[in-house]
Amino acid sequence: MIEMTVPLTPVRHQRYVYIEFSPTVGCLGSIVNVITDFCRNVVDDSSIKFAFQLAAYELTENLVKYSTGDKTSIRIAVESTAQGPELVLTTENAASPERLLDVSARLTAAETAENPLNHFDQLVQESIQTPGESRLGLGRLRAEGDLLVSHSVIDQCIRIQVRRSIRQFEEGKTQ
Amino acid sequence: MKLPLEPAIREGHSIVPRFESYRLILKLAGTFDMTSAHTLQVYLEKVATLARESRLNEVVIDVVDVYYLGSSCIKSFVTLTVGLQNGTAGLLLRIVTNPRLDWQERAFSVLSRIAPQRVIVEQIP
Repeated sequence: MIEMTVPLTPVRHQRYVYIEFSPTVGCLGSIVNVITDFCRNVVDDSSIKFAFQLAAYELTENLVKYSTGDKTSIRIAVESTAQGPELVLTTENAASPERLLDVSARLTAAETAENPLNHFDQLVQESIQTPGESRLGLGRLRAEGDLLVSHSVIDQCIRIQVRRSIRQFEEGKTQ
Repeated sequence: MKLPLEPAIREGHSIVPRFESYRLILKLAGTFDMTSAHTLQVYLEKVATLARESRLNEVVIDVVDVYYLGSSCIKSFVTLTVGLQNGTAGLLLRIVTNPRLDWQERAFSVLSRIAPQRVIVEQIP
């Protein structure tokens, strides 16, 4: 089941879409479509739109594969920061303690890598040696999407956030 | 000559093969996310086997009409690239991308970093 909130607000209010859903493979395409439609309405730049499509796919696939419990969420928003408007995608889900440790370690490595492309190439080399899951998705967020990635773990839940400045494009779209 | 590979046409994505001389050309189209990963993995394993058993000069993968490629599918291409390095002396893997979808070159460039002598990533004119 998908519950969606789409606020119909004037431009000066924060624009966002928040979806709470039970993670199943069948909802993957619908979730990504909602996120990419939102992005199309606030940015013109194709590389930014692709970056958030990539993030929506990779993070939603992770929700579907690794969440425990029947409730996860994804939120896309334009946020005002000191540096100007940013497009921000956030996912939240519960997961097993083992999975949380693993994903947290991989996110920290991706977030702190000095060179995201070198880090991704290292993940690819590791994946060649490892049959089964690719474990490349989180590395792509910075290497291919130029996204700023952060995460936090509270109790048994993980919150992953990716963001990118949209200052110039957002102004163009809203004028 | 009967093609040793059949087209794989599913909801949301397709893989259609054709042979030209000693080249195998795969035309991919659609979205390749986690739901298509298994199909692609199995298909590319067949391609690697065929490339080793036949005397192919080149495998061309046309992704001009691919609109998304998930990480599981990237891994399948990585596995193909590594697999083609063994037992296929001189075989080239050519990836043909769409200049209007600039993410494609970025996503597939990892293959040429793995095997720079064997992989060419190029845009259609």
